Amino acid sequence: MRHASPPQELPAAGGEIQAALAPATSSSARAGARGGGGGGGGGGSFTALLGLPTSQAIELLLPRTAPPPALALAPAPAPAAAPAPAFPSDPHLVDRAARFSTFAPPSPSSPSPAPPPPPPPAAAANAGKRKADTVDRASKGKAAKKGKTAEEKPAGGDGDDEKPAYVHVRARRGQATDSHSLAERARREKINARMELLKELVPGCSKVSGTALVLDEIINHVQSLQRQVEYLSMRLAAVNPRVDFGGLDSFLTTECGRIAGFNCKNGIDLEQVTWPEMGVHGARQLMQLQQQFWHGDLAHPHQVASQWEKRGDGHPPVFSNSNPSLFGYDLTSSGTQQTPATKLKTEL
Amino acid sequence: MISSPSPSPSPSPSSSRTPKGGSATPPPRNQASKWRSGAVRGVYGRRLLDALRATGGGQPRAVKAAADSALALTARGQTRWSRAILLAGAACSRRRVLVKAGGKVRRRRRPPLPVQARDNAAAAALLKGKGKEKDKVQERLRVLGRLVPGCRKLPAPALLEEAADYVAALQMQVSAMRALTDALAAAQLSSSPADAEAGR
Repeated sequence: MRHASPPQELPAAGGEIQAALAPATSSSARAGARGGGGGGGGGGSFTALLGLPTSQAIELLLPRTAPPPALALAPAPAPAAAPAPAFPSDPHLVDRAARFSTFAPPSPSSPSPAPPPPPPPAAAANAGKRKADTVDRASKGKAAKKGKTAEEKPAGGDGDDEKPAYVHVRARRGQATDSHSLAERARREKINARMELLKELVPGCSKVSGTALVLDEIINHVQSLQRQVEYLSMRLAAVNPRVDFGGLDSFLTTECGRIAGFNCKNGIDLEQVTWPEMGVHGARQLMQLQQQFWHGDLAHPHQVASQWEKRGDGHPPVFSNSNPSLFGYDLTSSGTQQTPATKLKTEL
Repeated sequence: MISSPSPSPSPSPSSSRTPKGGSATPPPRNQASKWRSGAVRGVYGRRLLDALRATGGGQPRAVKAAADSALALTARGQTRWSRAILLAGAACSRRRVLVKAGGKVRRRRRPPLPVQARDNAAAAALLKGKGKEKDKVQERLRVLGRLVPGCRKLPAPALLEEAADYVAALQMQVSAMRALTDALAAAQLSSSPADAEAGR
């Protein structure tokens, strides 16, 4: 409904408004392709204009004619044109109104859902209307933030949003915005995020509320896990002396394969860095010792052993001996199969 | 599952503005997924087996130490507790010698507390609780710091992160060890009797 036809300056007379209105409505009727809502909205807002005192209406009209006529008005304000303070539905009008600070207080509050979407495109359409942008953000932010005056908000809003080197913390409604509380809030949120992770990890924590109780649960869980580790290590120690370790590899792989469902080969590819020699050669020993100890009864180890055999052949014996000191291993005598073989046999 | 919806902790430029006590704020990783993958279980299982082979005989303490060292190795030294375990294991023999020599090495108590860390922990706990609850929270944080190896005097967010990783690792360790003992017991059952009895 922005038209090129109206005159540049309008004398402060009601007749001018009519004159301006007539071509406006006609052009909006002509420009009905933009949508009946646009035309209706245009007519509606103009009608609302008429409800204003003339001087203010002219004031508002005056700069509106200056911008390029290709201002697209969203049809959204059209239905909002129905209520009594209809001119705020015109987003461009909201710009001007806010700029002139005449209607700044009521305008953002009443059509709070409607103007936020349209002002950004309308403001963006205004090339170079920077102040309108900031005031728009201010008016928009006023609904979101509290406790900031309209003057400081553009500066504050810019400071919060556009300084790249600082923490991007949006001040929430009803909260102080000085740097100390912002920092404290950031730290609290960090801690809360970690607590959330822990709560998800520890079973039975989600129904407990309150940090102290959650921490209690976490402590109990850690203690129970440590006790289980001790108990299982005792069981392992009891079982250990009587079992050969060569056969364990296939068992473990079967368990892991069943539980985790991953292929042996993939597992090997992933652990190439610190793969001790013993494991691979242990697989060969497995083949040799299997007939001795397992009576050939188990189908699984055969499959697994064949896989291991394939993998053992294709796998170059490049192993980093980073573990030996830790596990008391002596892998310095590498390269030959004899040493691990004899070592295993002596263990047995 | 990585939840950091608020923009404050996530962007990297935030590190320049961090106030006292906090280092750069990386988004908290999800440790459960890291420790629950099958590959990690396989890695740990093999390391555990090797460690078990190395232990001379069935001593529960040695087995536990071996299991913990294997776990810390699997963590690749990226976490504080894993480094603490590895260092404790590596320095054990040396420490024993030193203690025998004259009780020179006393790692139990460190009298000169780093003041900054203490303030950090206090401040962190202070933020968490309101009013009289903060000392309860602080007490529990201290207990948790004692439980997690190598995290005694750690500020709250770092401690919570280490605790999350430690809990995930412990869960993986427990399940792997349980599977191993079951498998061992089954193999033992099958292999120890004579030819007549078929195992499993």
